Amino acid sequence: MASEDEFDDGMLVTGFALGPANFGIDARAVLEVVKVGEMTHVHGAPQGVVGIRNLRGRIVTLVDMATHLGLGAVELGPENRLLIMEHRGDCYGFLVDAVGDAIALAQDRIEPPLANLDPALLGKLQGIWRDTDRVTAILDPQALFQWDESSGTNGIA
Amino acid sequence: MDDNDALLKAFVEESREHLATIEADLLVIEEGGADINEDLVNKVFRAAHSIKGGSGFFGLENVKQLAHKSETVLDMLRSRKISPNAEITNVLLAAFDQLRVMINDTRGSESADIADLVAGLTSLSSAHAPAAALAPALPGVAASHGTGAGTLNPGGGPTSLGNAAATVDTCAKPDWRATSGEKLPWFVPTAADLEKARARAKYVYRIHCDLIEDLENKGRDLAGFFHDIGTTAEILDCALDTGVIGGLENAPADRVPAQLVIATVLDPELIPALFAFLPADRIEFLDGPHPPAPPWVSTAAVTTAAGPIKAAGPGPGSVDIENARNGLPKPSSPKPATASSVEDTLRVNVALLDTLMNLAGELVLSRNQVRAAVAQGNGAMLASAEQRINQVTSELQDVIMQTRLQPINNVFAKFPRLVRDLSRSLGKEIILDVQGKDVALDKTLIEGLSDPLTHMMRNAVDHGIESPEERLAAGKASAGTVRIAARYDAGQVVVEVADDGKGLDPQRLSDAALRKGLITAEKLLGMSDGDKQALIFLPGLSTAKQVSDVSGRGVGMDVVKTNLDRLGGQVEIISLVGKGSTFRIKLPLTLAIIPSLIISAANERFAIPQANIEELLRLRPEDIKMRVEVIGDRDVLLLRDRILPLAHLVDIIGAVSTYVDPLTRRVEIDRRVRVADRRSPHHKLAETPLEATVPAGPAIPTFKRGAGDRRRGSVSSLEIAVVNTGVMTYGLVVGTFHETEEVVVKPLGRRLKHLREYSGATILGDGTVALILDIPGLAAKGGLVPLSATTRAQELAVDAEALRAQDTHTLLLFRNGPGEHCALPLDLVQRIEQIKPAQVERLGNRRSMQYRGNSLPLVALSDTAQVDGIEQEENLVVLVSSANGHEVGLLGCMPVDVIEDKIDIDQNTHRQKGITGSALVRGHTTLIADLYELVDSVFPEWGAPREARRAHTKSEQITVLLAEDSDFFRAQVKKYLEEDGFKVLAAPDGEAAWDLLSANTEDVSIVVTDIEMPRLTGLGLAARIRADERTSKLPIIAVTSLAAEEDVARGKAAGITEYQAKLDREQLLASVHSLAVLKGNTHAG
Repeated sequence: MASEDEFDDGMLVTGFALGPANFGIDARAVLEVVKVGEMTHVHGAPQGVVGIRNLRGRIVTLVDMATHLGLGAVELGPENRLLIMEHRGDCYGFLVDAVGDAIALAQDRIEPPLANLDPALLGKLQGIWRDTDRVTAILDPQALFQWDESSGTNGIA
Repeated sequence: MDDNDALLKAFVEESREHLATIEADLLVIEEGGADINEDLVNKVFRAAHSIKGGSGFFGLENVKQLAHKSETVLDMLRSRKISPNAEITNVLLAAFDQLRVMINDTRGSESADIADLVAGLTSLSSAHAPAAALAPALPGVAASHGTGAGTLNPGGGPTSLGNAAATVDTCAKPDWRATSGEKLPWFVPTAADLEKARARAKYVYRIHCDLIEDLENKGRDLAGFFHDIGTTAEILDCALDTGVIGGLENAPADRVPAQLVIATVLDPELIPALFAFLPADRIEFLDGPHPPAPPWVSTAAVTTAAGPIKAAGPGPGSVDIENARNGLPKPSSPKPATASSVEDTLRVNVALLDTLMNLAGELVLSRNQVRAAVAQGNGAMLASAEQRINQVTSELQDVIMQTRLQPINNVFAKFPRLVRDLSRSLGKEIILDVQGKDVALDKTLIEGLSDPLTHMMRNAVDHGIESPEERLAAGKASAGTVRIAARYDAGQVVVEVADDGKGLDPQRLSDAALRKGLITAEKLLGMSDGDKQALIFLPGLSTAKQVSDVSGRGVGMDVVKTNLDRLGGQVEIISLVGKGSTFRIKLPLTLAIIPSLIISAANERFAIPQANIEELLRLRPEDIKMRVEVIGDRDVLLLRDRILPLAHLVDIIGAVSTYVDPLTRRVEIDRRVRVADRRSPHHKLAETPLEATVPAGPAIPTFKRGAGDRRRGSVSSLEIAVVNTGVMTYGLVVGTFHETEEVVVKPLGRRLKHLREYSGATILGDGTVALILDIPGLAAKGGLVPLSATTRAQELAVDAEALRAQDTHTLLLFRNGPGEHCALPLDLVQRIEQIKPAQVERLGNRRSMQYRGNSLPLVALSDTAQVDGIEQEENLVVLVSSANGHEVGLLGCMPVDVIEDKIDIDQNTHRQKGITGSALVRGHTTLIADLYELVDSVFPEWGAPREARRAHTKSEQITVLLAEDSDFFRAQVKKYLEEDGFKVLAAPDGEAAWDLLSANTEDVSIVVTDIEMPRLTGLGLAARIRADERTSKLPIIAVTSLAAEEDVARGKAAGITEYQAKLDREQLLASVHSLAVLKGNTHAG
């Protein structure tokens, strides 16, 4: 796997925006990026779940990435995209403001996240990537699927 | 997933399949006793063996050890060294149970404690060991199997090997090995391996070689050797002679003799090519589709295991190890076991798969056709393609559904064991009758059924069937019968769990419920035996005298019911004390594709399964006030003679109700909180629908706007789906009905699975997603309770408690003149007509109007009472009613409204002819009209027949006991009765009525009672009257304003003779007359 990458210790991340902030997530975790499309609202869903949609016959649970990271909510607009990811057999679409370029980065140059961040966000970060002119927060794909206990999916499912 | 994981998974699945059938087989074997069903024993043996083999490969030592021990015992059974009995079966069953646990959790299996089981199995085999040694037949059988796996795992050598080793040592060796003079533990391929090879039409060979001599010395490397073999053959087993190699102190060994058993498609003529470096006699033919022709095949090895048949020579018989060893006919190849219910893989009939392939091909063809048609713009061709696709799709759907159908035996199969174990531990004799094993159900349903059915079976054995002594004492056979049967019935599957035991004792159930505070004594009085039996579904009710570990854990039937509800199943109880109980479950055939009604609400579309839908209603604004009432704090729907709870979908799911403003075309928030609010404070909704729907706030942002959401044209109509959960029926107010569709159920993701109101999602024709509503889940979320029967009585009792001080009345408010507020009980009003003053015709002092082609007599309050005349008013209304068998209209004027409230009616202050009393309604003193009195005085001639009846009644001296808690109604009904010549004894509640009756048993000829009363309800009173022999034959009429079907049935069961509406004087009197006269003829006199 890794040998196909350009650098042995390199990593390709999919960049995306939430408001003014830049984020990135391991590109291997992102199955595809799609437009928002027709979504169906699910009343009673836990906070952050904005609805469901059909993706080639699969039901995708749509999660507002901003809400999920404790950064407010994604505003609906034409640049909105869904990062489609899979976790334990379920298909998720993370709603983000916009998707940018893929960034190739060297793993050993990822800095630890700033400790003054909101702990909820901090727990989901793998590190910070500084390029010449911008800072990208790299998300930990695994931590992304740890849901806030209070938002109500535990126990029953 | 790496290869090993995949292999392990395959092993686990295969083992599960083996285990799934073992239990039933063991039970059959036990039943057979000494008369061993050898096919079955072999089958179980093979299963244990293959589990043992696989577990050794994966290093699952515990599994291996247990499987091996079981195998040993089975082998002794097979060779008739021991005969099956309960003890052996128990130990084996326990061992296989543990195996199942460990197989399902391979990681944890190593830490499992199997010491007891191993000891149990060992003691079984060792206890019979002397017998084994003495048995003349076929020594060393167990050993030869032990070695198969044991050779590769020197540490795991089982104890029974000791016996084996000796046997092996004495056996003849093949020629080429004789020179070595060393011991090599010979082995034969296992029966299972041979079986498998045979099934695949493969040849099985044993290869004798020496790793040093034949390989190393010839410059071949070991890995290459195995790889070469692996490409064309399957290595079934392999053994090295480690004895030859010796210890460290010895000189380095110059040979490592080895044996391989391989299965391959290469026939005996081709096989030497694979082992070109070996002399031909090192290849030994063991088994294959065709007997070997070449004379070079050595038979020596065969004889090592099957000494006694050595003389049989190299014919086919001698190579059939299995047969040789046991002298058995060749076992038929094992039927593939059906997958157990909890797996995520499914076995599918190959024929079905072929059909699917064909259909897929058809689909591709059709797609091509569509492409061509589109390219050419050929409409006709497109139409034909569409037709074809349609056909293929439905067939495809059908076939795919079939692949999901599994025999219910997947669940039933475990019951023989369950019943056997339970009855044994409880000391009961039970015959299990299983029917309809082949009934196929959707896989999801099969999985969901397992727990509820198990529980019901446990209940039947534990609580249902009596002990043999009890049974004999009751004149029954000492052995009880528990029957579980499945059958198809009208598109559903019916599963029945029945026993011929003691039945459900309604008294004990109700006592238990009472003791645990699950039900009030008052409520119990009104319950029939069937109701009391249904109490078993109450959470927390367990009637087991002793809480056993079997089923008396206080959780149970309520969980069963909940589980069945979730599956869309319904359960009913048929039980007779002393005779037995039957629990009947009705289930849909499948859950994967369900016909559904698509509806929309709150700008989303939803699917409601058709199976839940009873009927669809559209209430026009003018119907709403007639059909929607408030009981307690809930809306209820009056549907024919039923009262159903009414719920708003948007309220339950927490969406904001919206509508499209017809003027601005914007989506607006619907502020109507409750349906029933529409008719208050002003009954104007019908004319000005938007008055109550204040357009406010910004338009709700929506992602999608269903076309059906426009409510223009029927702005305030209500669309109601009457839905059934299996336990209750309720009305669900939805936005708009759309079409019905067959929807494919797709599960929601983990983040949404906990939402009980949705059972899944489906993709609609336009590609968008609709949620599928879970009708029972919605009811639970909305806090809906069945208004039927007991629950409703309870609700009403609570309400009644709060309202005790005052009676609730439903009144139609109207004006007699601008300042005169009047009211008429709503029950009496059939219709309201708006008329013009000119329509009123006068003939002398009587009025009438043309109405529906007839002349409708009209009365006004001013005809008898000191109130203003009404003719001068402009906006007249006629309240159409009937009295003395004639249709009659009461004149009033607008505005008209309906109020349902606690109203204290003063029957003195304003009492005059035609006015029964007055009440303070919304700050106005309101006169309550007495229509009957009014009509009697205006049209006295209508009363003639009644007069005759009255004279008759008077002469008969008939006494009526009247129980009614509402002062107003009591006074009204008393008056009617007295006017008709009856003598009336009136009581304000059931207790008082009973006291009166007890004091006057001789006089009272008939009882008229309200249902809901403090202290003792009408049903309770009825039950008491029926129970007392002095009064048991008295006719009882129940008067009620609302009578649901269930209530009528319940009333009948409690002893109510007839139901009558409270204020329908004619009907009530007619009924009292006929019943009292009947009574007079038969009793009094």
